[in-house]
Amino acid sequence: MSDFDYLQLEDLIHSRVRLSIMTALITSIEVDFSFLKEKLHLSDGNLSVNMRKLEEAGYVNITKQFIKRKPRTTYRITEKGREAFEKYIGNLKKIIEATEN
Amino acid sequence: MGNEIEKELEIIQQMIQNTKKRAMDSGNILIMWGLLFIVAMIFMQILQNTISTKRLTIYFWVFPVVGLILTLILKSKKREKKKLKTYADKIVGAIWLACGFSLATIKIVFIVSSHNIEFIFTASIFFVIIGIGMIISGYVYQWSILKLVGLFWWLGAILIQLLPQNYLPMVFLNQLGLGLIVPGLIANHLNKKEG
Repeated sequence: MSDFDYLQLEDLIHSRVRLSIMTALITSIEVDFSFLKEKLHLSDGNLSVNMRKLEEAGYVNITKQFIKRKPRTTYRITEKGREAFEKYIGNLKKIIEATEN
Repeated sequence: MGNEIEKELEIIQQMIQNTKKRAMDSGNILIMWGLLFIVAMIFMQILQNTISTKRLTIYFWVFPVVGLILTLILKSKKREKKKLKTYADKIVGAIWLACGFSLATIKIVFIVSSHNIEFIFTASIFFVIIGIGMIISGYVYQWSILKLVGLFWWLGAILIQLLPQNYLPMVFLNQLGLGLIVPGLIANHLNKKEG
């Protein structure tokens, strides 16, 4: 059995929805609210709650604007968010290596 | 724990798949350029038959300017609707901007140098640059059709030098049809399929 501390996986990212959001944001420049809602099969409320948590942690930047009188919300990952995600992936890698050993 | 890690990796992999685009979303821009140059060819043919002037090619350069304006309009419309902005789109946009500036620079150099450079020679250089843009775009989007289209433009650059002048309209039409309109239609179709 490995002696890796699983608590090192950050709780904020360690949820199915937020991990998916962070992955989408790290692989793109900008992601629209409706894109995330559609791909993650989430309700508006559920997605908003998760996005707010990521925003409060300083992991995402939110831009709200009106295009042809319709509201549009887009998200971008911040440098802090990028670092947190990279650390998270690094820890996942360590767990896999520890499990293999 | 092993199962949990597997699930996490699955989530990451699935989301990367979701955000990975296989098709360029500039299908309409390719189609517009193809159609615009077909109109330009017909227009030039009509001019050639009606006006007897040696400086006919000057009129031709109105069309790229119109194309540039239409490209900017189409791009800004697309930007409004875009749900996902990817790094691939950004890179391909930069490549085509560089290609466009290269084409404009070459034309300006030819005009300024005041050498009597034939239109057909300029066209070959333009075909090569369009080919470069297509091939790099094909590699960025991992889309083989665009790579083949790039090679097709290079082949066209050689063909227009080798074939007799009466074959040129046919070669130009082929290039515009198979090198711009067809890939544009395929890109639109793939984009619709991807959602």
